[in-house]
Amino acid sequence: MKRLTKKLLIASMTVLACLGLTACSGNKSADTKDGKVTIRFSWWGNDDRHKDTLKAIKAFEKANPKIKVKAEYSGWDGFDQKMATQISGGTEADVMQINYDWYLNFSPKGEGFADLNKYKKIIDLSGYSDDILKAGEINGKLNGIPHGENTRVIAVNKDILNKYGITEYPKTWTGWEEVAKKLPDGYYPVEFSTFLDIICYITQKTGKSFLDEEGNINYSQSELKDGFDWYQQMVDSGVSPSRKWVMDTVGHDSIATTKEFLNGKLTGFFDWTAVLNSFSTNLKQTGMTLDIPPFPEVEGAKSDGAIKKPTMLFSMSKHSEHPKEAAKFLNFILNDPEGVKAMGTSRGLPVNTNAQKILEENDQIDDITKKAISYSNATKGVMESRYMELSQIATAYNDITDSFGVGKINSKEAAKQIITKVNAAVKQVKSKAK
Amino acid sequence: MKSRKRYTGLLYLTPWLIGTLVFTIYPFVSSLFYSFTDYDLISKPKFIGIANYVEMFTSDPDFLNSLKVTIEYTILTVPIQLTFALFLAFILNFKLKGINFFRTAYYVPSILGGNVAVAILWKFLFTKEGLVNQMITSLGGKQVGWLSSPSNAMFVLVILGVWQFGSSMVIFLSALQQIPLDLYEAAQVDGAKKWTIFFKITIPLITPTIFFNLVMQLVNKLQEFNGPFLITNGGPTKSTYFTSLIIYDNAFKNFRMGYASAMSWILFTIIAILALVIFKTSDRWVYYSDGGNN
Amino acid sequence: MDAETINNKVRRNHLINATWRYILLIVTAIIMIYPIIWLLGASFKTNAEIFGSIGFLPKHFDWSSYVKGWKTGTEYTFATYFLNSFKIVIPKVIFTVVSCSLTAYAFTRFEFPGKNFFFGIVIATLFLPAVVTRIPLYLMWRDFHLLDTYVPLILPTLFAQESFFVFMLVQFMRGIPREYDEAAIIDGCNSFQILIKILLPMMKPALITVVLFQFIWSMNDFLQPLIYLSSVSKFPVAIALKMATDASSGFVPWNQTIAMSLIALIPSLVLFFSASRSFVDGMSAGGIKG
Repeated sequence: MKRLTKKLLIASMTVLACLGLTACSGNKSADTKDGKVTIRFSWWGNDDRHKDTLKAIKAFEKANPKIKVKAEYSGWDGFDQKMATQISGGTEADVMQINYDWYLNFSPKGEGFADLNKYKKIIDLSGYSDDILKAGEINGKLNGIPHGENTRVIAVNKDILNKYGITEYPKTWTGWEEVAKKLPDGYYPVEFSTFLDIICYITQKTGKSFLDEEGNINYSQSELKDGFDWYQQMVDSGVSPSRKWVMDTVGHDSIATTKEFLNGKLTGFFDWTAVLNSFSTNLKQTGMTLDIPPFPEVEGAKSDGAIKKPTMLFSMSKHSEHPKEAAKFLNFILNDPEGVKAMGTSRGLPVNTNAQKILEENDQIDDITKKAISYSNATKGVMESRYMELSQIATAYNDITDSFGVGKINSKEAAKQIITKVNAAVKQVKSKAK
Repeated sequence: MKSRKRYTGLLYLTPWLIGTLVFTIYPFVSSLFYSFTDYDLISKPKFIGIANYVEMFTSDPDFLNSLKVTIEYTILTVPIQLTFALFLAFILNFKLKGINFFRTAYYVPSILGGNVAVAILWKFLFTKEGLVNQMITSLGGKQVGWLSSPSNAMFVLVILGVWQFGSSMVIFLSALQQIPLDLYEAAQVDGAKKWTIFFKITIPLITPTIFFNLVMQLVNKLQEFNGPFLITNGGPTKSTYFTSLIIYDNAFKNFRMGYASAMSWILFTIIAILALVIFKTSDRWVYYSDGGNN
Repeated sequence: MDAETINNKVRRNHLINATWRYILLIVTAIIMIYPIIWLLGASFKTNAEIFGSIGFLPKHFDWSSYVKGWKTGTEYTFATYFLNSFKIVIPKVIFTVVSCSLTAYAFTRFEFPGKNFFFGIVIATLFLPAVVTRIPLYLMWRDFHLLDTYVPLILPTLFAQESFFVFMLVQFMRGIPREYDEAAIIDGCNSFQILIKILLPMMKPALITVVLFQFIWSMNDFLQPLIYLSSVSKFPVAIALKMATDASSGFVPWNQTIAMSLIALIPSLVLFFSASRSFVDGMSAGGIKG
């Protein structure tokens, strides 16, 4: 037994020594003597995205032999905590993929990241509209460059609708009520249950986004109440299933992996264009196709009701020791034909029109994405505020919508609570920027 | 002699002492300090006195509600889980052929832990036309809305908590294994009945383990995170919004580390008080063979 | 009654008993395991089939999910990630057993000033949610220049910093009468020999439990490695799994996800199965003699 202890001790010491040796590399970019510079690029995503991004990095390293790019990637789970600890410790990567709503937390005054305006000579921004670039701007400083644009759409199972004799998509919500009548019992033409979907309707009526850039509510209480009433009417007339039904059927998960969607009972739904791919792939496996009908119009509409937001953005660390090389890399993946082709569409379609052309010529865009683009291009839409999907604010309105959906509160109370609770949440967030 | 023994005890404790000083004291004290500050992770913490503590008790109904539902969950889960674990450990301690297979089988759900597969699995079981509802309807019952009603959602989480009873079971099992065989033999010679042996010999001898599992399960369940995070996301209407979830949301989603720290210290205090009560009463029901008192 | 009838009766009783026990064991096992069996079936299905049907037999057996899942979309295969996991887990297990035994020994067999206070600290460290110590710990390891190494994951276990195991071993050690120690002292053992020769062998089931739990929990832990490691080449299995299941960017190959979840279980299962056998060995070998 004594011998064993001794052995264990020796083994432990050896392991510790080994650990000590590897410890030196640390988290800083280690530059080699031959003038090679290392920059770090961090992102989250699934396997396809990793494959494509790694390809782009290889292409970049080939074109720029003096720069090495260290890839730091993982899945979405836990990424928020990793990012927060890194930002808090000043150890973040040189180039990062960032979520739209993180900027208010990481960079409330626009000083959390490098100002990309300084690197305009290296990064070509000609393919971006001023509108979309604004989404990455805080206090006049370009904190991030949006990668893609997301539009809230209705998507439907074309085969089911055809099967029950609906060959032409209705142009109004009353038209969808007719569709609901034609479908058998237990079928729902358009599922919606989130506050964002109600917002689409109110946006169309008022032509304004829910929150402005400063986080102020643009809607009156009666406009909000009208939105909730409309939602209730859609449920009552069988266009959408009830919130309760959705909770029990979909759970805290995606509709794309829900039985009722795959067997066609949930014929259509509201979602962002960037995620349609997964729906269409899953549906294809059951032999059906996904389609995007035009967005129904209400009487006296002031806009087309398409809410838009950037998908994700790319930022650079303000602590970067090699900002020029980092900017060069960023330009490569955003604009260079080699980089764009390698990056592909695993992050959705880029909003950069130059990149779009490259992908189109190279035939890298799938059907549902093409449909989504033509839809997005045909709508003017309203850009969603950065505040909209911020956790505190989203928690507030989702909770109220749930309470309304399960019948705990009526539409008047819901509208009232939206105003007080969202305002309180915005105020809380803004106290940071002071 | 006595002073030498003192010195020996501390000697054995040295690794722990060093480790605690280096690795534990600092983060603990930091989080206590943060709890009195406004700390957003990017700028320096700003001292604000007890404002965080005042806020959570005066203007944050979600926090008080989270304490309520977490305690409810704990009270429901811990006794069921421990009884179940002890019962199965007792059965699995039998000398039967293939007992290893059963031991492993029962432990599998606990290895799965907070794995993503659990989320898929739970969806398969508890959605509208999931396995559980299909079984209910085939027995002539009505479909149950598992996730839209607060009490049902809680029930689903309790079932998940109980299903993952494996760790407690294994600890009970190893306690049962440590009982000297001759004690049983002596009892059998005296002609004692099985249940008498179980309650008069087995249970008293494993009270230290029961005590351990009770404390640990209380600690774990009061900090339960995976279940509500993976399956209900705190819903419906915050009925399963547990304290650890609200702490996580504030720390890493809302970037209010100061506030999250203050909540954590309240949770710390609650668990500490409960643990203290259990420790104090343990003199009366926990039997240690070494005869000493800690 | 003569001896033979008694014997027969006992045997029959025994048989009935065993049957009942098996029935009980099997029924419970089915309830516990059916979901896992369903997962196994699901790993061979297509996405649409996984979420569309509740039977566990797939329409076609398709091994490709295992092959594709093993390859991953990263620069490395699961082989690398398994190896990394072992590099983390094995030292952790060894250190935990050694350091926690020493610590538990100190708390159960010795008197020293501040003992109750120190034990209070051991227990109290379990009460604070880990979420709020994450940032200070990260900053600490940054200042030690040990980020992106396995040290932050392993080193604390060398210093008995996992209170769960200390507490557990304390409880088990207190279950051993002190008469054994005293007898050993008379035989001329010093305090370390008492621990090694007397106490630890008697605690074999508990020590095996420590090994099992530390192994399984460290295999499953993904958040700590994710925070401390930034090089993908150093990631353990648990992170690789989460990467394979990422839903943030559209399509998720669930069959691969489930396949890999199941494969990731194998080391823990094998270890558990063999350890569970040594539970029995420990008993029949008479490791505990009254």
